[in-house]
Parts: sequence; C-alpha cells; structure tokens
Amino acid sequence: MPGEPDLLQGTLDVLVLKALTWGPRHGHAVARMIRAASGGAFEVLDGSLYAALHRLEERECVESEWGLSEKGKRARFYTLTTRGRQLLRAESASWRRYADAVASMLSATTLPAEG
Amino acid sequence: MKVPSWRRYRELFGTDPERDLRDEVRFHLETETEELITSGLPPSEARHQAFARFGDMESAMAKIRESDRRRLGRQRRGRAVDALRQDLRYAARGLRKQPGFAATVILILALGIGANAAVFSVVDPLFFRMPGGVRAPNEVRQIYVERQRANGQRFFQARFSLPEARFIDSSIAAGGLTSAIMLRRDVEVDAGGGASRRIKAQWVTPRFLRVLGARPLAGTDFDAESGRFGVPASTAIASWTFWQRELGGDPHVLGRVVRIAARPVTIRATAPRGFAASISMVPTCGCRSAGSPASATGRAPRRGTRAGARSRSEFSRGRRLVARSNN
Repeated sequence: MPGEPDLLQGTLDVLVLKALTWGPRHGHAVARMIRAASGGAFEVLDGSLYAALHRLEERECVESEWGLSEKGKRARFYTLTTRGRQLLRAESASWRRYADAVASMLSATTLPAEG
Repeated sequence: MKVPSWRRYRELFGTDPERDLRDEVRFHLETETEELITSGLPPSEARHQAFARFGDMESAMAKIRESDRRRLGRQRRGRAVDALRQDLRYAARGLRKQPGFAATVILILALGIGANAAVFSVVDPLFFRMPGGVRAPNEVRQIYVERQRANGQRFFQARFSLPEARFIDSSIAAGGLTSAIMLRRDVEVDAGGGASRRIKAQWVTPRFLRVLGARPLAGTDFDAESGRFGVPASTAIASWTFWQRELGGDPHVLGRVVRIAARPVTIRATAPRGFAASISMVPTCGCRSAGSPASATGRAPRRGTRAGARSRSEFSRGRRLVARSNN
C-alpha cells in the first residue's frame, strides 16, 4: 500500500516525541518506554527508532547532548524542543481524530448516514 | 542527566558524527544486552537478541548518517551566517562610535585598493596578457639563450643585439619553425604636417605578424621583398592607435607616405585594434642601411632585440624553446 510507510514513520515520530515529554532520555530508554507502553501491540525495531531520533533532530524537534547514563556510561540524551512540542500537539490531535473516526466506524451498529 | 563539565569544550575541536554514532549504537547494544542477561538470558543469546531487536544495522546507519549530514551542513551554514551578522553588527557599532576613525580607515582602504587596482590594470595587459589579435598565444614562445659567464654561472638571455637576433632567427628558420625578431626604438615620425614627433616603433622581420597569427586589418602583410637584406625599408604597417592618432583615422591611409627617421615610408597596411603596443612596424632587415638604430648611431650594437617563434603542434605545451650557446 503506497501510504503505509509514511503512516508508520509518522506514527513512530509521534511515539518518540511523546516519550521525551517526561524529560531528556537516551535512545535505549526511549525504546524501552515505547516497548512497555505498547504492551506488545506492535514491535518497533531499535534501528528504526534511532533513525527517527536523528530525523527529528534534523527537523529541530529534538536536541541531543552527550551525558552520563544512570550506570555512569557515556550516552546521548535527547530533549524535546519547542518545535517538537508543537509537532506533538498537532500530530496528537490528528491521531485522535483518526482513531475516533475508526472507532466510530467500527462500533457503529446502524448504517451511517451518507453525506 | 548529568553532563560532564569538560564536554562543553568539545565544541572547540568540532564534532565527529561518525564516532558519535558508533558510540551511541554501542551504548544501546551493551545496555540492551545487559538487561537481557539480567532477565535471565545467557550472554551469547542476550547479545544475539539485542542485535535482532535493532534490525537491519546497515540500513538504519545509512539513514542516520544521511540525517546527520544534512543537519550538520545546515548548522555550519547557520553558524557562518551568524558570524557574518555579528561581524557586521560589530562593525556598524564601531562606525557609529568613532566616525572620524572609521572615515580614516575607509579612506586608507579605498586608497590602497584603488592604487592596487590601478597598478594591476597597467601590469596585467603588459605582463600577463598577450596583445589582442594573437592566435593561440600559448603556442608563441619567446626565445631565450642559455649562456655561461666566465665564472661558470649560467643565465638566460632574452634580449639580443641585432646580429645575434638575426643569427637566432635564421637558425630557427633552418630548423623549420617560423620565427621573428623585434626591436623597439623611439623614432622621429613626420605624419605629413611637417612637424615630426618622437614615437615608439617596432622594427620587425617580415614574418612577425605570421608568427603571432595576426592579419592586417587592411592592406597586405610584409613579404620577402620588404625584408631583403641591404634594401632600405620603404613600407610600414601602422597600428590602429597610430592610424587614429597620428593619421586622423584617414580612410585612404593605405599608400600614404610618412617620414620615419627622415626617410619616406609608405603605409602598406593597418594592424587590428589592440594589437601591438607600439605605433608602427617596419621591417628591420631593410632598415639596416637606412637608419636602423643599431647602425645609425655608429655605436656598438645594443641588446634590445627580442626573438620569438611559434611552436609546432608536436611541441608540448609550456615547453620553452631554448637555444644554447656559450660566450
């Protein structure tokens, strides 16, 4: 399906941005958080997640800085920027509309009015 | 997140995106492996699974490198623009604070740049560019003779006495190349009004125009007859400047007689505009008995003649044609 890769890529970006709303995190922590939040509903390859982080940094939605992890190892930490927050708000609203529409359709018990 | 204080100085030495990427991925795989081991997997299996969860390593790395390359390129451009903007702002503040000093600096700079530009505009056509109208100037070579002083020191001679230049000319011609010699001298020229003026003239051999690949604008080039040894020069080719300035751009200039060094000489052709810096050209050979500077003065021949040749196609570019001789 031609639209599928874009949808998946956009979805992953939103998930990454959301994971960073709780503060700066390195890539592994973001991956762990998404894996836990999804409850096994979908599998995100870690390579794709890092590609998304760097892509978001290129779009100035996140910033990165080297620091020390909780175990004292050198790690790259990502922080959400103002632009990233704006994008997250816009994408979240769009996703909710989409999800509501799908849910509305799937839960319909009577024939929706055509219009 | 704790940021080590030394890291702030790292920007001074620039970043290494490739090393950063390797470090980042290594950290991820190590941490993931450690967590899997903690959850009970054997180390080899944990490492295998960490790699499996990462997915296609090459593809992911390629995408990340591409993003980094674009981001860093934009950052570099942004920094350059910022630096320029800051410099301009700083300069503008300085100009406003000390207008007298600023005006002095601007004046000095303007004078310096103007003087350099003026000198360059004179030097450039004289030393760095061939005169206009020369065909394939990279094939034209000036002749140098490598000589040796009594103390054994070697040097290149570029200017010759007339007999020396004649010898070089005939030697080159014997070798099958087209060559020409040229001598610049000031001469008295009477363009017809009765008053003579001192102007710069070029005394050349008949093949001069052919060597340079130029053709007369009007009239005919020198021929073998006009360069015959011992026959006084009777014809000349007027440069564009001479034609315009001294002869008033006369449309019937061909065939007009002017007096060069008190001898009547007929203008046989005009040279193209921009070609040659001197005023007129007269064949040297014929002038020998008719007042060529070398013989007319009665002094020992001075070395003011240059020799040139057009290289054949088999000569490599940039190679100098050098004749060897010993004093």
